[in-house]
Parts: sequence; structure tokens; C-alpha cells
Amino acid sequence: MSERLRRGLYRFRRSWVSVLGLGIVCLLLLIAILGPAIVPHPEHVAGLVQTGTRFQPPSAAWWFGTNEVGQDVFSLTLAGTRVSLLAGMAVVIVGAVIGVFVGAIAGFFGGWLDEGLMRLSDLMLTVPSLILAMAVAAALGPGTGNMIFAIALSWWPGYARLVRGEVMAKKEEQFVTAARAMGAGSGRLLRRHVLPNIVSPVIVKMSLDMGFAILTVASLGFVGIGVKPPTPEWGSLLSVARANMPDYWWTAIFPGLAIFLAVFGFNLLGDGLRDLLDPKARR
Amino acid sequence: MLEVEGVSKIYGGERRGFFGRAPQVHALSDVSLSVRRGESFGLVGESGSGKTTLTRCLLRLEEVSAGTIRFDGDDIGRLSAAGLRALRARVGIVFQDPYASLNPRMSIADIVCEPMEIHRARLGLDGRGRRDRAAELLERVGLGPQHLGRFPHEFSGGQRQRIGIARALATGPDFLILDEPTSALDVSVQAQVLNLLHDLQAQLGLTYFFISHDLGVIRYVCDRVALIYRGRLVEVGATEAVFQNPASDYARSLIAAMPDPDPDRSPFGPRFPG
Repeated sequence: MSERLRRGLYRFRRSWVSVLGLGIVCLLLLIAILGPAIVPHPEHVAGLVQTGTRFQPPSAAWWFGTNEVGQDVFSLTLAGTRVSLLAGMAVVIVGAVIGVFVGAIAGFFGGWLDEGLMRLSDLMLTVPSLILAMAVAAALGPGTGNMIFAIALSWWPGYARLVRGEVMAKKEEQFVTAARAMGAGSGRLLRRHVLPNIVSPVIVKMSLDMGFAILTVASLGFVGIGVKPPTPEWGSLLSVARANMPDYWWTAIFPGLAIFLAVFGFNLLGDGLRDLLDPKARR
Repeated sequence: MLEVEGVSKIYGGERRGFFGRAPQVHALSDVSLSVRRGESFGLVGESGSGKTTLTRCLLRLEEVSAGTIRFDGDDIGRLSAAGLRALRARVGIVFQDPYASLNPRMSIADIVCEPMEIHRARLGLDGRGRRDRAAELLERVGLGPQHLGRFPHEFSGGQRQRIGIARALATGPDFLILDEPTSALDVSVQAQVLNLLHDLQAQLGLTYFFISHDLGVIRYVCDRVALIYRGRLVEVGATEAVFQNPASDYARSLIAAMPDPDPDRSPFGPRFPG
């Protein structure tokens, strides 16, 4: 086991973009964990208004400049990491859990159950996630929890399709037949024999999806139905800042860059993990 | 102990689209044989002759299309859920491919303990008892307790097949289905595994249902043998009788095609003249 791990680490280290991705993701996670403790102006994050220093350009004192109410953009962007990352992660995890559950049942049992579940997931795929999220926000009211629920609702079909295919391939393996011949029931076959052998592609898809999930969370923040101000979040920071363009460009460019960096980092990491865990799937 | 009577298995024939039906394949037609307690019964046939289909029917991984299979007098087609569980504890199976038949994500301890976990009500072993029995089984097949924590990819083909045998013996079965247990192994390792199987049979009083396409292996292991060709039995009898006086043309052509280990009679002629 350790031999395989070492070899895997070696292969991962040989591709510098994967290592860069891992570095960016680790940095973002660190910022998300430390969050408010390391920002230079926590009082701005909490909502303090200082109109005297509004629209200061980036300088030594204000690294990313200040916004229309004199808050430090650097502090806001840093503090926004936690919300954006957590929301993105929650979307991916909830989507993966639902998708694995549905896909495993559909792929393992087949027949009309498979047909029914897959047609349902096709139906969910046809609904654009942004529109669905807006509908959910309209029905249940805006808010972080509802937003995560809404995005996850349109997120799981991708996992269901992936897992269904993998389960259908794995359940024909001889060790599954062997367990069946020993008298193992369906639950045991799925839990002990099929699912542990399809973890790799799911993990790869989760890391590749993280960037896109963060982007979707930011989009919803941008259109105003995600995280509510004053909680700083990259999408809503951008949304407020678009009124300041192009003269006070720094209020928009830095939250935007943060989104770019997160999407970029998670995609590089996902690519690296795919080469490591699931080399077949490489394009 | 095992009686197979007039068993047929037909695949296909289900509806396709609005009009068509899938073509039918007769995997087994009217197969009858019986295996006596304590003997080794060989089933010989080429690829696609229905050997594996018959084993799948014996374990009720497939339903037969016609006929009955009786194990110790019970029709396995009519077993209750509990009866089927008991059957699967009493019948072990060793598969052909030792690389595909062990779950790569499970440790050897988990692999060997799993049948005991499934049948824990029958065996009455707790976690510790199962692990002790797994260690004992590994020793019996020529491995040791130090291998319990390892994973399948750390073993060679022959060792994996030994693990497969230990797993098949875990529930204390009295009937073992051996589905070409040596055909994926090197010749030298084949002999070791065959000798192991032979010893286990003597020690545990097992009945073997041995499937192979290798006549030499069958002749070495089996008391009685059946030849299957395209889903039909063409010959059944005591091994030596079949080999000495084959009754059917198919048996004669098979036996004539057996490789002869004598280099002087090699069809390639003498390699080193003079």
C-alpha cells in the first residue's frame, strides 16, 4: 500500500501544474480556516462604514484599495473565501451524496428502477441550475442554505450518471459474483464490493466540480439570491462593485481574481488527481 | 449428494423492440449427472460448452429453464431464502481467475472472514473467532497469519488461488465447486495447487465438482468424469474407463489431442538429431 502511495506521490509531483493546483487549494483552505483572524481590518468585515477613506486606490496601506463605503477590499476578499469555499464544498458534497445514492441503486438493480431514476435525472439536467436556484429562492426565500440546496438539486445528476456506469461495470466483476455465491445480500455487495471500487472517479469528479460550484455560488451571489450582505462573498462583492466600474476598477477586479484563482486551483488539482487515481479517463 | 436431472438452460428469447425477439441460445440441454459424497467429479468441455453455466445453476446464480438440481435430496430451485443461505454455506466455489475473483480493496483477513460474517448465525463465531479461523485457514492452504493484513495485489497468482481456496473453505462446506482452479496458473504452480486440493480433500472429506478443459488435470484429480459438448453430455463414466475406452467420437478426438509429455513423440520431430 505504502509502495503504491509513494509511486502515486512521485507521479503527482512530476506534473508541476498539479502541484501548483494543490498549492493554491491549500492556500485557499488556510485562508478559509484562519479567515477573520488574519484580515487587517476585521471591523470592515463586520460592516463598519468609513466614508472618509472611500475609493482609495490600491496602495501600501490598502493593498486592494477601498470600496464605496471605505471598507478594505483586501479584508473583504479574504473573509469571503470562507463563505465561497464552504458553499462550494457543501454543494459538491450534497450533490455527490444524492448522486451516488441514486446512481448506485439504478446501476445495481437495473430494470424499471434504473429507467425511472435515470429519466428523473435527465429531467433535472434539462433545468438550468441558475433558473432552478432562482425558482427555489423565490419559493423558499433567499439565503445561503436555500442556495446550496438549489444548486445541489441540479448538481446530482452528473454524479448519478457517472456512478451508474461505474456500478454497472463493477457489478459484473468476478469478485462480486464470488460474494454473491457466498450468499452476500444486495446491501453487502454494494457497500463492501462495488462502492469501494468506484471511489476514485467520484473523488476526481468532486475536485473538478469544486471550481465550477464556487463559480455557480458566486453567480447566484452576483444576481442577488445567494449569500446576503453584509456577509462578504465573492459573487456579491462583484455585484455591488459593478456600479463602480470602470473608474474604481479595484473594487471588482480583486474579488473576481479570487474566483478565478479558486476555479483554476481546483481544476488543476482535479486534473492531477484524475491522472493519479483514474488514468483511463484522461482525454 | 448432488443430482442433476434433465437440466436445460436457454438464454435469450426476451422481447426486443416491438416485433423481434432475441435469438435463443441453448446453453445446456437435458444434462443429467450425479455426484457421490466424497468423490471428485470432473466436468470437461471446451470454451462455451456450458460448464460455467452449469456451475451458476448449481449455486442458483441462474434459474434453470427445465429440469431439477437436487443437493442432498433438496430441490435447490424450490429452496426458501433460509434454505438458499444454508446451501451457500455448504457449497464453496473457487474461481478460475485468481486476479479477478478477490476484491482489490479488501485485506486478506476481510476476504477470508467475509463468508463467516455472512453466515455468522450458522457458525456462531464472533469477530475474534472469525479472525482466528481465518489465520488457521491460511495456514491450512500454505500461507500464514502474517498475510492477514495484506492486500491481494501483493500476492502471486498461486498464492491468490490459495486465498480463494481458504475463502471457499471458510464456512466449513462439504461440497466444493472448482471452476478451472488451475488454468490461469503456471504449470509448476498448478501442481502445487492440485496437491493442496488433494490433501484438503483427504483431510476434510470434501466432495469436489471439478471443471476443466485440461484432460491431464482431470485424469490426475478425478474419480469420475463427464464430457460436455455444446450443452450436451456426451459421455459419463469412471475416469480411467473413459480414458481407456472412450465411447463417443468426441471423447476419442479429445483424448487423441492430449499432448504427450514424451519428447520422442513430439509432432515437432527430434530437436537434437544424433
